[in-house]
Amino acid sequence: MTATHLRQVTRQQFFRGLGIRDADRTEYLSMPALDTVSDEQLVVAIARSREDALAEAYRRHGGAVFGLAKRVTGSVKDAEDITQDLFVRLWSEPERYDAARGSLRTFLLNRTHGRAVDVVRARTSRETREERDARETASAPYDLERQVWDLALADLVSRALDSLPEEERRSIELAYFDGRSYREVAVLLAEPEGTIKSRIRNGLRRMRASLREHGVEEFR
Amino acid sequence: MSTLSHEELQELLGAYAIDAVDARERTEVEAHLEQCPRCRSEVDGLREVAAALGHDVEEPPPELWSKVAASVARADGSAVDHPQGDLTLRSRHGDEAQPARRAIPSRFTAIVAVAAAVVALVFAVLYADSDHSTDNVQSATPGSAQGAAIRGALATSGHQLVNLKTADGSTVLKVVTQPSGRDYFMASRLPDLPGDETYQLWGAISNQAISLGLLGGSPQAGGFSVASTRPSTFMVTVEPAGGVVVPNSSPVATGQVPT
Repeated sequence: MTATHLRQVTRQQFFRGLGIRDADRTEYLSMPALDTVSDEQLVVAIARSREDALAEAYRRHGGAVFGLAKRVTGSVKDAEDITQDLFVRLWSEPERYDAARGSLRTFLLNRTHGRAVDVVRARTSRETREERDARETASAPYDLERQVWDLALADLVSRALDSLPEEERRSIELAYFDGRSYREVAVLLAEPEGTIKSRIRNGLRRMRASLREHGVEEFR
Repeated sequence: MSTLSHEELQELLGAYAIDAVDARERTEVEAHLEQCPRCRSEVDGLREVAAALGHDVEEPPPELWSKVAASVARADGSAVDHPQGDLTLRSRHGDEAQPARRAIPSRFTAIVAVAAAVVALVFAVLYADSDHSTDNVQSATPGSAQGAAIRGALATSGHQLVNLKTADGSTVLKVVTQPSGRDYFMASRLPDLPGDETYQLWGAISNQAISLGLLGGSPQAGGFSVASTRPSTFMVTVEPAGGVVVPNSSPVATGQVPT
């Protein structure tokens, strides 16, 4: 399905989603109060070429995308390029986001991670962990509720990670934050590849259960 | 045709979810996911965790948005407004609209009929951390003690997180409950109300709606406490500024406490 096609077919769903009767459509043609719509509706608006919807998506998720890209690549320049590319792609290929498969933030962060890993793997030498850890932390100027929620989530995630058996936590961290493949992690930890694969999968599943236990069903 | 067995593919799902596989494996997993709903569902779940893991919000350089907007404009031959500034509500088609402040609440349909029951007398002691005298729960400044209190609540054993959702499934308010009865809410993208109206938070206890407090016209985050039995459901309604004893409108959002 092309973006153009999506723009046509989702028009109907877009109005239906807002509970707007056909007769009132004209009035709502530009979907007011974008800051109040769900991420899913936002993507529909992006598919309808609403530039302000892209701006709103950036306002909501730009900081998270940039933060993750910077954390994995350890480079502001790379993080900027990845962030820029990601939002341009969201604009040109909004149909790639499938709300049935997760939140918009999950979608964006997973794509960010994939891109960041590509950048890291393409490098001849890795930056040291210390260099990356020295990054400054800044808070994004977004809503208080978002900040509080992010803080709370960061807490829950770090506790879920800490509660994992040491070897699972280590395997996940080396792969996720340093952009290593499970094979590289296996070499690094001198363990069989199969063991690392299992640790990563089991660890992630355990974290998922732990987050759900704390009421985090959806990550946004 | 995949060269890996289903079991081998399954073993790869975790590594795949965090981009720790090589290109060939990625292609094989993706081809498999196309036809295996079970594995797809597992990957979706693991990717949710991966995203949470990578959650490290940092303010991008201010000029970055301009670059995004310029790229998009180049592709389309138009301009994009700055997201941090005044978000002009305008589409490329040229039609304009004022932010309809009441548009959202009036769109919602009733979800829970609980509120219709006659209400027992409201007795919720409202507080906003140090300020017990306030009647209004909306009170939190960025970086305030409120944030710390909410984090504390989330770290408390036995706490529960309740998502209050609108009819279209958007979460607009989160409530953190604690066994002590000191609860917190965090509002999320609830549209501002006109001055003569307020959001009011309710808890359903034994089929009765008990007022838990007024959230004001543009709620952010705050605390409240519930004196007796824990509510099974939380609801938010839009009411006249002074609040009401019995909800007189359908809830704009509801959320059940997980059991």
